[in-house]
Amino acid sequence: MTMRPRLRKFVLTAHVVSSVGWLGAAAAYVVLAVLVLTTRNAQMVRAGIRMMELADLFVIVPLGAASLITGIVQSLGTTWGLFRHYWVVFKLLINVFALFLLVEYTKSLAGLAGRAARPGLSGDAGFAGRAGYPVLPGADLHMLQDPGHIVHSAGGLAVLITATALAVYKPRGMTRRWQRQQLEQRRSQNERHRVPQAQKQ
Amino acid sequence: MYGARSGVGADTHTGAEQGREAITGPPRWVKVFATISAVVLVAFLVVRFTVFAGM
Repeated sequence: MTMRPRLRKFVLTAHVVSSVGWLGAAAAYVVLAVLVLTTRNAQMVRAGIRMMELADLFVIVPLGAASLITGIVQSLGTTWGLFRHYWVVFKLLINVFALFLLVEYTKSLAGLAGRAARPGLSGDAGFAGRAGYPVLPGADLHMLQDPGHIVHSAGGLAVLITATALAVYKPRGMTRRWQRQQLEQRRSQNERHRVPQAQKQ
Repeated sequence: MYGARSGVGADTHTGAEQGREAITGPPRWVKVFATISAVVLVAFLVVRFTVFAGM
């Protein structure tokens, strides 16, 4: 079933906005993750983790879900199909995989954000920083500064850039299943075309 | 490909043969992309569940 042009453009706009928005939010998230990992200020770590949680929960996850849903609707409502072209299949796999990891990461981030919100982190005790900021020797703050933030965000960003490149370049290649269906369609059309010709003769 | 494109040649093939000839395998970029994706995925999973197992 193909969509009408107006609806198709609306869904396409929604898909581009959500996908590119997801990419931009992931890039901003990398910056936050770098800040959290490199600062020696306990309050900055707390605030950074809290901001990361909010951005993840209210921007990145909704945009990722919207990207997946609009992408599926767009492909099913146009001649591109969901399993007709390899680039569409790869984009779908990338989207599902990225969203799955994102949800898993969000669960663990919620636990860290809860810990960051609690008063009395061991890192808050010392005030020996150059600018009078709290130093971070504590085990709790060390846990908040997990390098996994960078692995997830930078990896996610790389995967989303790949998906965007696939959508722009649309490399050639049709799946065997779609080629078979097209052949069958062509064959049945030829047969339909041949019958009237034979009747004329 | 030949059977499907040529009007004369198509008559010399059965439908099944024609179908088998016309269907091509995945292009080179698909194989390269799938290989790279598999390697990256395995590397990610190894790092995720060994180095950053606590996350």
